Amino acid sequence: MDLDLKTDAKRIYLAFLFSGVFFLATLGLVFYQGLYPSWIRWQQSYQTSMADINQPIPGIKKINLCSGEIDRCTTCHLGIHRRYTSQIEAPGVFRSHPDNPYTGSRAHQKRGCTACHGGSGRALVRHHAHAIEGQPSRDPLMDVPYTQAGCVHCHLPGQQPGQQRLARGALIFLRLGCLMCHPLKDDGLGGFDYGPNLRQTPRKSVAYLENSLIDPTANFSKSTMPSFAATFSHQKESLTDLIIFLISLSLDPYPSACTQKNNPAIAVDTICTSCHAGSSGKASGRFQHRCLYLIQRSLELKCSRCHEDSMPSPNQAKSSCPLVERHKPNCQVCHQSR
Amino acid sequence: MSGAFTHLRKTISPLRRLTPGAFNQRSFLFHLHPALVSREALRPSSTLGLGLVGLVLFFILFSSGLLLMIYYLPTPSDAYASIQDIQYTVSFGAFTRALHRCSAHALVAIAALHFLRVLFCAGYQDRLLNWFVGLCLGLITLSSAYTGGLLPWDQNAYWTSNIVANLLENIPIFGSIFKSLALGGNEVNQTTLVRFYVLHVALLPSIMFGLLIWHVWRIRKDGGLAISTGFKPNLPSYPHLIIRELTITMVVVAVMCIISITVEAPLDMRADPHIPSNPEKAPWYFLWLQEMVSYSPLVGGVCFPAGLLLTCLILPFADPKQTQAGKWLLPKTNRKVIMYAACIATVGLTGLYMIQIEQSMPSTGFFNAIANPAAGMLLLAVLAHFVFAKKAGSTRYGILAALIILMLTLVGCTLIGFCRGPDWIFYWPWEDWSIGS
Repeated sequence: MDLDLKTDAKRIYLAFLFSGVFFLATLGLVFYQGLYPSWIRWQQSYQTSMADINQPIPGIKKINLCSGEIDRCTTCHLGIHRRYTSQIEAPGVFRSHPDNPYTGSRAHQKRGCTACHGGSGRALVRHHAHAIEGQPSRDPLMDVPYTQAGCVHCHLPGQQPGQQRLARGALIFLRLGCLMCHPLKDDGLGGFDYGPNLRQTPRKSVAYLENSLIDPTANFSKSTMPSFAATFSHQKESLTDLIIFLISLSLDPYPSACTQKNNPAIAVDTICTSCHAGSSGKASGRFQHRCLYLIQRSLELKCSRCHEDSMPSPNQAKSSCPLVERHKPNCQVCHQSR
Repeated sequence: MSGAFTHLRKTISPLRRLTPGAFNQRSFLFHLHPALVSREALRPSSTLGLGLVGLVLFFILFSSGLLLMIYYLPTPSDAYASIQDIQYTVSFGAFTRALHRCSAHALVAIAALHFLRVLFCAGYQDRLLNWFVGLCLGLITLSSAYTGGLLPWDQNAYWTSNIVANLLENIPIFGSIFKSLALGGNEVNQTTLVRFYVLHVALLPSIMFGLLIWHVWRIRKDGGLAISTGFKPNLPSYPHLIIRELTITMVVVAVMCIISITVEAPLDMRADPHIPSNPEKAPWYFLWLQEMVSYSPLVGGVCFPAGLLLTCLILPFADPKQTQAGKWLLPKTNRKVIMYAACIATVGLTGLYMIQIEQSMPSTGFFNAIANPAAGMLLLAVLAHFVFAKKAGSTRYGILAALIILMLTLVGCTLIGFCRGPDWIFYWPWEDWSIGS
């Protein structure tokens, strides 16, 4: 019995020793991984490739967006703000950002990256930041020309120069009659509920949208949507335009504090209220929502176009204004019999 | 010469009392451990070490949870961003989060295995109180895991919490009260998040901690580790028990660390109440409930869990002569009962699902009220209870058979739940969800 006890004790001490070594090795691994996150390795590689070895590692960098979000993209993309002299060949990650082709400014220094490029601004791990996990629900990274979709964070389609493709996409959307089935509503107002509400579906990838337009059953086998393959067979450009617009539908406008002047919600308000003001002077009732069709049509509907000095009363407008008569069938596209 | 040694030993002995290496009988550890343990109790097969593993996991959860609390902000506007900051900028943040998450899943699984071990060893015999304390601990583990699931405030968390909260509505009479009590309103919002946060970080852990101490202390009071009647405790606890425990502790911590380095905790899109995800799947430990509720909310969501809990509660009271506590599956009748009950459960569940698939669409009416998995298996369990009680000549076996059937139904429904795709349509694991039926 005594001997048995001794061998047992020897065995458990040996197991204890081995598990102790295993435990310490694991802890070492945890510390190595925790103390060397991938962004530090990118910054080290930036130092070597840019011959900036003597500079200290810059650490986590961020851009505060007006929407309250944070972009940490410049932690790894350290060359964004640089203007390289032609001698230095910068690797892809450390590329410099071109000047904005539309405004000529380097506005990206203030506005951050995710507004136009999508992706997850707070993330510091590559596959999270770029959202390239193949999940359609994530906010995937966008490249030129799809970055134009990001304009809707602050502007209405076509409101500013440099959004030609986005505006063209919006017009294609109207012309193809997508609204007949896909309502664009924010608060459950307006439109038919035949297809999914495109404002309330998660961001889809470019490939997903392209597939859905060319062969709707590719992504959802029970789809009854007609194929638009013939429409786009000779117009690849138009397809891209429409996809830019479709992407823009899933992006939220930035809060009004951010860009008072250009905020789409406010812009819609000012356009619609020329006819449809409530008691507060703001758009009321069903005109509160961001109805794209209304935006387009209301450009023609400003009473001040004809009535420069005095506004007509609503009843007067209903009975005699030819624009209101034209406006009616357009309403019925979204508003059924109302 | 020997006199000199004696003198030396006498000088050292007061010092030895202070050294932690000398686990003498005065050590604090012996408040929880007996001085002697039996060889039978130490055999790995007698307890599988599951209780200890669970305890270690609890302490991992406790400490990693404390670290996460430093950075986490429980408001809908900040919760997601603070989790992102923990994940990406806080040193060891991603590791701590992954550790907390995988330990939580592991604790639910280990607690279930521990339950099975005690059940099949008839460990509840003569230890009624500890059996009930254990059941309470199991329920609190589940609710801790559930309340913690909402805190990241991502799509997955938001919609998962919605499903389980909607289950509460199916409880007759008090359903809506329970739901508004849990959510602080009709939907998951700011109030819900704060409620769940308080439950998750304060209320549930403190109850759990108290019950855990009671649970462990009762083991000592009830006669030691893994009921070992008939065996004389003849091995000193130190080193034989304590070194074993330390070894298991280190291995569990190390394995959890390795898992959390390799598998990162997922973070979905920020929660958006306008965009429901399809399918909205509950976490795996509630998947059986969701699967049953998809057929019948009342029977699947209320009657079945209540039946399961009731069976667990009355099992120790029934005919205690028929078991040999602390031994795996003894006497022989026990083994036979479990085997037959398992066969009946498998055949019954397969049959019910075949009827359901034959119908293709879930239909209402009397037939469907009985032929759905939860109700059908519940009836089968009640039937089996009477048949087995009569055949084996003991109510103990009747209840055991019923319990086995209910538990296998639970496992089966969990497996089916894994195979559910969008709109709760059945897909084989190798099938692509985008291919509709």
